[in-house]
Amino acid sequence: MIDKNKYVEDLRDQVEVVQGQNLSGLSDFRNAASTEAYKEALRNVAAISSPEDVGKAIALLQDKQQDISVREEILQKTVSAIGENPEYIRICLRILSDGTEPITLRKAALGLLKTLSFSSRTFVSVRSEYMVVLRSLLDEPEDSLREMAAEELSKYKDEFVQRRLLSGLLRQETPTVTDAKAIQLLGYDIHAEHYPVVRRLLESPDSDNVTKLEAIHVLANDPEAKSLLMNLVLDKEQDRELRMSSAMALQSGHPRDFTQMAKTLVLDESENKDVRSVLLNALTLVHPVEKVGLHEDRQFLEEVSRLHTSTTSPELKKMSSRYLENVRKQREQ
Amino acid sequence: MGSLTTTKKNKTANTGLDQARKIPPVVPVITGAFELSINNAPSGASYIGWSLSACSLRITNQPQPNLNVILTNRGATGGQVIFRTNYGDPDQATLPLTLPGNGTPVTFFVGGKFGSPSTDDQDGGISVTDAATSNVLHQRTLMVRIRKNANILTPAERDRFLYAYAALNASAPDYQGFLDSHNLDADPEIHQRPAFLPWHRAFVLHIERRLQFVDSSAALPYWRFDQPSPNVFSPGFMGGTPNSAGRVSFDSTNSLRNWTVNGTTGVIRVPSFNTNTSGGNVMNEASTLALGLNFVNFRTMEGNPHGRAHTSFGSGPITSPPTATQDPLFFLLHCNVDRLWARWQLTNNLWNTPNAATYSDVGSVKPGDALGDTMWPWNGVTGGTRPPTAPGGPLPQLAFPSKPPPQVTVRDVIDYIGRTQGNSNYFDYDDVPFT
Amino acid sequence: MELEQITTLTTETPEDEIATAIDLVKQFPDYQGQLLQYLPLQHPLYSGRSANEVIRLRGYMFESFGHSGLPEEALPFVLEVLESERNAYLVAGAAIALRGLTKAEPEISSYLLKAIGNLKLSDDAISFASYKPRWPLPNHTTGLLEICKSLQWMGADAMGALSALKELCEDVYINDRVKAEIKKAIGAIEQVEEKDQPACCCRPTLARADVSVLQTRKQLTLDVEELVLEDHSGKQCKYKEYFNGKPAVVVFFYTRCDNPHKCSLTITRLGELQKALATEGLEERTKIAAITYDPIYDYPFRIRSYCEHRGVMLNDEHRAFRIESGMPSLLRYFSSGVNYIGSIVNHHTTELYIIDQQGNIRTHFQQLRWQVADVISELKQCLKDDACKGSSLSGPGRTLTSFVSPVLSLLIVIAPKCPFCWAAYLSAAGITNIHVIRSARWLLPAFLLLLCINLFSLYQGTTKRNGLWPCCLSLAGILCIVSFVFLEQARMMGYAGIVLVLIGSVVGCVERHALAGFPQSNLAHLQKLAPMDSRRQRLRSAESEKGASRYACA
Repeated sequence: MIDKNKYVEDLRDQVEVVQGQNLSGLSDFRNAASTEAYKEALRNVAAISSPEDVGKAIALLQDKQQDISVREEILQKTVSAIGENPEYIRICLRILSDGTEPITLRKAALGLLKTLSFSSRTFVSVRSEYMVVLRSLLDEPEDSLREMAAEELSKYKDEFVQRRLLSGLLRQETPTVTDAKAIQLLGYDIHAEHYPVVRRLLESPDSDNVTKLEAIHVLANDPEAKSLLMNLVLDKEQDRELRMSSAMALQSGHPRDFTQMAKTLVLDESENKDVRSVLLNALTLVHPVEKVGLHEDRQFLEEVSRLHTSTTSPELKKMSSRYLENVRKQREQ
Repeated sequence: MGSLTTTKKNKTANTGLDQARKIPPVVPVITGAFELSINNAPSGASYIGWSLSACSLRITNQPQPNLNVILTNRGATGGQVIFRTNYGDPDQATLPLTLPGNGTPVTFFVGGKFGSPSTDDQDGGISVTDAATSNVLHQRTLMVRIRKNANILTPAERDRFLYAYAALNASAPDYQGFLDSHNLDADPEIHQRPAFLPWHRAFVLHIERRLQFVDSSAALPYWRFDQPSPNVFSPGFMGGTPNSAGRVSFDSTNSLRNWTVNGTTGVIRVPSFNTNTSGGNVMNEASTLALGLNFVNFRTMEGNPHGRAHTSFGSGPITSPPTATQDPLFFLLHCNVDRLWARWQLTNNLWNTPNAATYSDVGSVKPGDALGDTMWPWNGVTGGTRPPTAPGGPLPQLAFPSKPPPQVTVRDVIDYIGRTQGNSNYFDYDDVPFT
Repeated sequence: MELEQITTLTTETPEDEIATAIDLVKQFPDYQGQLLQYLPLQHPLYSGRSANEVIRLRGYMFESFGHSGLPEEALPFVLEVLESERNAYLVAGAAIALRGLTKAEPEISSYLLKAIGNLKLSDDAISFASYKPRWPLPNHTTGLLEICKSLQWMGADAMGALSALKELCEDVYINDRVKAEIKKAIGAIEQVEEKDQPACCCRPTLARADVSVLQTRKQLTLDVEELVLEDHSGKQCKYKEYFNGKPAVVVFFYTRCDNPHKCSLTITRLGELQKALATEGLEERTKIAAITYDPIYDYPFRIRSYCEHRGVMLNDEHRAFRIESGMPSLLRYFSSGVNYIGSIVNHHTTELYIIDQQGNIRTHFQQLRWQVADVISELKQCLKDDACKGSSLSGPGRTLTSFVSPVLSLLIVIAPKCPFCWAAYLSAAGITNIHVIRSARWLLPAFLLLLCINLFSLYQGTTKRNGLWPCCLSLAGILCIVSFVFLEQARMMGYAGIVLVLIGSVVGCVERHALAGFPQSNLAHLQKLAPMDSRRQRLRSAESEKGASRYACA
């Protein structure tokens, strides 16, 4: 039997050690003057919180001559302190929008700002300024930073980024992000106008599979894509992942049509086993209301039972077992 | 193909179904003329944690002579339990009792043995042994159901959890309630305030109890975000290496393949760290626990490591408040946030209220932070300073009287472990013992 | 030319052209009234456009009223945005629109306060300097700043908002720049001398529009009667089967609505209404129906869960519905304020209907938030009314009613209502029979003069009515009549001329708004503002708050 009291004592000892290291680190930070000293001190510091220390840290952050790693560490250690002060937040916004600052630092600043969106009321109050900076980053030369800004704006259903993404897909202007990413980001707003162009991209032979995959997931919300998705699932020449994802999209958007199709394909011995497995996986999760009829389909149950016995595919065996277990539980209820 | 009938309970044998389902042999449970109640339930599947559960044992074929028995673990494998005569007594590996011959119940307490949780449903149990002859007179199975580190789950535990999780998600409107309780409009109600930790404790408990409607053996695992978790970020669990668009891959048998939110399918998540060799870009656990000796200092963990855990990914809905719950990883992340709070409480022995070190509403600007305040959305209060609607209804309740109540207050979740008898919320973490 | 640019906007009109038309209104403020037709959300202009496009257009439209003047008929639309929307661009446009009023009403300040509450978590940088601006911009404003400016414009009329504004100066979610503007608004209020202050310094309760009561009951149409409704359990019935025998409350919603102040709130309040009905003993005597705008996605299990999670108890008399086929007919019948891009809702208003025992629309609460007490009151009235008592008509009786009503309506519509129309009718009839009364040829010029007067009156009404069409039709009719008179063989021309003059006069009598589904007759009611539902006040004050409720009377 584990000695619980000793367990707790050991835990307290560990925490005490860290507290000591933190205090020591803060002391070293106050006295530090060189890059190496700062790095060493910050390694042992968990968080900088006292006003004097924070003031020194912010000064270091703003010092363009300072070592980048030190400035990035400062951002890590002053999350709460920055989050309580609108001026500190604005400093981070300036770093983010400053094209002369190193990319890693700017990304670290964006990461901090996104962190503050979870934890800081003060950040919420300057949200409009944050949105302005994000929009300016849509013309940022560095791809990953531009993409991060586009994604953040898309999550807030920003109309400007939607315009940019759509016009990029339509080649009315230089795309802001890749086609796949643009489709994905437009998908954050189901009320947007991207479905026709996404359907075209899915059907286009010039689109790569990554783009097609994004299109499929987004078109789960588009009723007019039903036949397109259905045809993809049924086309055995198509890429397997595209077929499986199309099936999932159909299940979301057209559950009744999906159920009928899935039952047929699960029992098709000539069908790819992964496809069958994914479909059977999905059938185990059909909503209870929709299950009326599904679980009373005795012939299908018999076929799945036979499949469970006869198949050599571990995936199909697992899925058929789960399906049958599910039926058994439903019947026992 | 297919025929429809209207009968729900089909008593006729389905030979194919039965033949296909080889029911694994189960060690028979010995049943005698006894009634062993756990948490007010004399029979059925039972679930306990490290926290103590009230039990009683009595003879049912009275009148009989008084009987001396010893309570022990049912087996050496599976979830193990300890016993206590009274709530504040030390743990005992076995418990001798004298059962009155007139059938009067004898009460005692049972709890999971720290370090020995169950890995399967009802794999643990209690045996009632005759003290004189050592014969096993009666048994009752149970599960020591504990929230574990997601990275060390067995494949069976992982799959059971994922199925329950995906089933809840598939009943779209049920999962929608969780999305609606944690979006941009709910933000000031659930973040940036003293009640951040209590609120999320209740939120995590809510979904766990909903998972248990699907599978009683399910417990929400936690993502230990300051450590490498290669098993978590794999195609068999939360999704493997993302493609160039950030879309994670799932095995064909992974229930999360069906993950759907607002009609859009799949999961996007690009870690900014090497999931095989490091944790997220967060303050480590020891430093988190060392944030301070009182709640006002500790709750700064909302920024780091909580916020940092969310933004340890370069792309994906989990990185922003309005979309975070769209990623199934969300609840595993918050389970760890709650576990850190529990570990901090354990380290500093802070369970009692009112005690400003345990919990303080300093910095509050609106209702919902004080100890006695009910929390939205479970209280159903809308408008004014609260969000306009309260989706999801009250907190699901256990089958026996327990905390937290349907309209949960801040105070109700502080002593979740039940340091004071009657306070237990009946969930536990694998590394936070009941002391 | 400019007028036509403004009055002929359709679903096909590119967005930039619409913006140009709106810019014209800013240039020529007299045309501001032409934009009124585009305010109802069900206008075809918004069909096929994304949610953000609709927001851009409406925000830009509202903002233009701030320059050209805000017609009174537009006020309910503006207040609706302030009450329920949380998009900074749209809210800012509405706030600016208010400054186009000739005089501010004190109650408006409560809407501006509500808008601050809705927007403070999602404020955004915006600009109306041009349509669809390309960021970064040298200058911009924000939604909150524009609201503050409107409060400043109100001056002393915003006296009732004074204490709430002072509280906002301490609000942690509001930044210093906005607080500075709030302080200016406070200054604008306080600088008014005491003797000039409004009589009531009471903080205005959150006002709401009065009930929009259709004076004429809207008759059920055959195509709607036969619609098949599928409820939350998957059971099906026809419209006429469900909406029959008891008065019913109908609301619209959809589960993918991302504005919690709309559908989620509507259904939550439907649950409150349900409880109130039970308290009033009306639960068994009334029905409830929540109909989804989005039947393709909202399967029964989705609408069931959505309603139950918001406190609505579903049963045989209180149901949620989807209509898989025929939804456009239903929406037309209800004149529902919704529009779509494809099959997905792009924008919608908040509305509640009361259906009488025969399934006809009796009352329509539109745009601004309906109050439980008002709905209960209307239901009680419906139950009291003779039309709502007794058994429902069935079989031949119902068929007869369905024929009589439209015929009567047609007669009422075509009957001449004004002196000019009487003149037109008489002159057209008289002139075509002038050949019978040979001795009365001298009347010919008189009849022609009357026709010309009618023509002139129709021309004068082109801007307010239906454009030049009535005038053109009547002119064609006059030409036919004249040719008949002078060419006696062209008898058919005479009859055709009479018909054309009649049609021209009838079309000229009908308001454009009625054609777009907007009940003009209700506009006057929409201007009235009334106290907040007392029950909501009690709910809020029951919670222990750290400050006084923003909406309680000081």
